[in-house]
Amino acid sequence: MRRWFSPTLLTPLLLSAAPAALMAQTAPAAAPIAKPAELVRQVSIPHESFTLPNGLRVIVHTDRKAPVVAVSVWYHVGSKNEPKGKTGFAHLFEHLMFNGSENAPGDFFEPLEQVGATDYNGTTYYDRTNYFETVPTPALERALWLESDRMGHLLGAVTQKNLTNQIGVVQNEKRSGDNQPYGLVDYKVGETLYPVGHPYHHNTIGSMADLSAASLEDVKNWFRQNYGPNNAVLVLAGDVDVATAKTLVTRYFGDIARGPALAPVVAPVPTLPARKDEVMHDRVATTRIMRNWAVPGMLDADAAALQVAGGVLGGLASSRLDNILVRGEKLAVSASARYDAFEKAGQFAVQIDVRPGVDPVLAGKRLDAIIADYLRTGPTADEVSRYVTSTTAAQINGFESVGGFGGKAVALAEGAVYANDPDFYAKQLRALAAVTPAQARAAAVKWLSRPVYAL
Amino acid sequence: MAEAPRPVGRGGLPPVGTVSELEFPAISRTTLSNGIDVIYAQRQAVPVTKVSVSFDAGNAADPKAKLGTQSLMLALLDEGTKTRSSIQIAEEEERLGAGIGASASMDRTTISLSALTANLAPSLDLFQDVVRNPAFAPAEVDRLRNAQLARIASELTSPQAIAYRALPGLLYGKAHPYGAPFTGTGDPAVVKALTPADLAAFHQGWIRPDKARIYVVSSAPLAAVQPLLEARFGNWRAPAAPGGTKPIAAATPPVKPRIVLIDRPQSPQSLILGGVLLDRKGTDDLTSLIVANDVLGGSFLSRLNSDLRETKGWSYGVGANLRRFVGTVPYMVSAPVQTDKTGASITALAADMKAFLGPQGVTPAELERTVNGRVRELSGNFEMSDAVLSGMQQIDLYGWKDDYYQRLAARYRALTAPQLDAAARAAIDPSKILWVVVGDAATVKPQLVETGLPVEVMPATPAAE
Repeated sequence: MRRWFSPTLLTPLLLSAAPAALMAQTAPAAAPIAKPAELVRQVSIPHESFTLPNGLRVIVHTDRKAPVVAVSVWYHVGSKNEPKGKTGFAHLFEHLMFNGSENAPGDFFEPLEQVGATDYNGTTYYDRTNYFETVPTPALERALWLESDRMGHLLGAVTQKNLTNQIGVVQNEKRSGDNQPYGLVDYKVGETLYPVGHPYHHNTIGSMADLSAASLEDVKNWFRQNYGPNNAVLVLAGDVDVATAKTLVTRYFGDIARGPALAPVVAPVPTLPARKDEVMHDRVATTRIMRNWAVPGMLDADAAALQVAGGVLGGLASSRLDNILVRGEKLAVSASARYDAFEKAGQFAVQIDVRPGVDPVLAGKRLDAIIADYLRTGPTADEVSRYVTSTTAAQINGFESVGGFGGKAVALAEGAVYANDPDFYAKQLRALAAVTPAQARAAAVKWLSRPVYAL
Repeated sequence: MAEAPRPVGRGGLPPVGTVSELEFPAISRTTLSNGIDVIYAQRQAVPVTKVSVSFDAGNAADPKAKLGTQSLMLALLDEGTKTRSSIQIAEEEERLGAGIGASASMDRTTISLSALTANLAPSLDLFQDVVRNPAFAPAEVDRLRNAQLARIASELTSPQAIAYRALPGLLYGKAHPYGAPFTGTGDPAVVKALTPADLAAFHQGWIRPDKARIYVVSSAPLAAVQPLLEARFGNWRAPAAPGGTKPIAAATPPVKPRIVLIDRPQSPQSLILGGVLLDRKGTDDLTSLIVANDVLGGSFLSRLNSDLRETKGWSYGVGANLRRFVGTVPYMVSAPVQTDKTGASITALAADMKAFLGPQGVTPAELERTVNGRVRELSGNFEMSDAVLSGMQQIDLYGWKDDYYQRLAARYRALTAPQLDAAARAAIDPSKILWVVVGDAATVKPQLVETGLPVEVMPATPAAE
């Protein structure tokens, strides 16, 4: 999942000057390069919020650049809420939300296509299920009617026929992921890093057996428990103002009864008792070597430092792993490292694809040595600066969009759902830009000195 | 097909007001002093500038005797120029918050820059160096060659890539410019032997000013951007030797309709990829055909997807689309299905197509939904500057007028169901489809008998191509 970070107002990071003697043929003098601090200041999503009496939180961001509004509904429920025997339910339920509601039977994509929606879909992950569509402004009211109907008036339309059909579809979604090279790796990583019973132990897609066993009563109970307005955030971003939003949202969502209050899920960050080495065999073209740790989640004080540490180690095109293993020693054809943050925990993942002909044992030892060296020395100021600049630039680009998978609505919703703060994206970016090389190193040492899962 | 039921309660579905017409930004056309056309539009939502230098090359330009040359050449562009090393290029991009990429579609090769407008001048300095002065240093060529070979090996384990490697040659014949694997990575035996001279020769033949056009979408006005482009690309002279040619109008051999089965043991799903060449070119007026195809296989609610996914549950998603190449257009049906339903899926897909092209053409409800959708989604489709950039390139690729997108709504509204049916029937003949199936042959082959089609078994690894 993409994460958005916001500019620091504190320490402007000094960029090294662009090389002066670049091109003999260009006449104009090199222009000054925008500093990360200035860039980060440009990343801003003004908004207003209100909450309905039934607990639905609503966030409105006005952007008149196009006559469209991104409608985004996030329910604070995901696979981490699934009890034993019911893995895959959050995602299966997401599918059922598209099969019609009591007052709008039939496929949800039908009215969406009619109104000319773009950037529409739904996704499920560990911590949330979201539904989104960008619609032309005159279709906003219809979109809100549809979203409120499936939030408040769904169950009468959920039939055994639909359930049986979507179980089949989801099982094929699972097969299509499993069918890709390395498709079975993610299961192993989650199951190893997080013990049985831990909310992050199992994959969001669930198991074939649990999916086949899903009953109509199961899915109805899932809805009753988790799909109340008090467990949801609605974001409207685009050609809309807060006054219009208040009127329409109250009209369509106001009568939906509050659901039960939900206790937060307990999901501590586990540590392996010892390094675990394992080998998986599959029909793959190159040997992939991975190093994985469970680490804290996005709300933790170490999150920004971990993100910088990961980016410098293996996220940048000029990352340590790329420079040493791919370009320099040529032991790998590709290499990456990243910090994946979930709500309650996260994952630090390093992987390299060994160059065919190179001994994987040798490559693995070299990888471990580079990581150890990185923990000793940490990133440089220039590396940190480059990471912040390129990440912020990506953010600026991403915020051209109001909705979809990574636009402004996503940033607002994520902060509201996980941190109870729609401005969380801004705080994250400020924190990112404030990370010093020493802090990045310290976080890496603290979390990556622990026993690793080496696959 | 049943009409969508009208909703009841809660006051019923609120009406949709009049959706405003698309406002496509004004396109400005100008020329650098060496004749390179610059096509520009302004978008000010974010402080970003996107530049795409488009070359009349594409996968179709990859030399037949050395398939994979272009792919390797493109990979080397940002791995070293005459004055910058691979690492220096990467670091400079990061410091500038810029991104440079190179890719090839079937007909065009594009080298692109995404820059923060505040850093545009130094970003363009780097960009022009990458475009004009690649070093093709032997050590880097070796390294990227290994990467490409690894990628080919990886493609041969992926069901989609296996199918997209196999199908083009079967449809177009291997001699045709369009008849090479769609992935562009080429033949491993050839790639192993490619030299820096091969790459330099390709660059000289195709990445040159007389084959180039520069497309720009920027938050800055053209008056600010043009001088920057002029300074960096305006003095680019074409080499004396003539550029490469690609005979895209060449004839294609007759194709025997059949199933080509490529064994991929233990696959939980089969990937079905059916293809047929249409008697159409990308430069033709294809609006009716494309909209008719929304109903047959293009939209989520299409006949094919509604059947195989939403009714039978055999797949996570199936679809059919034409690929709008400038020359002869292919039509392809893609269906990843659970292994035990492979044969039945082919039968169902063929039957759904025959029904649509026969007695069960476009219904009034389908027409209304499809036309409404196409018209109303125009503004949303062009929300992002990337979409505007792409739109301008399509206008030139197919020879459209600059107001093509503004006029599109009226053209959609004028469409009737009989027109759509006629366009689809005239173009698509499902009995001519060649079906590539990538799956577990032991389980799948017996199922294919029910389709009534001849079955040919083909290895996944490329024989001498």
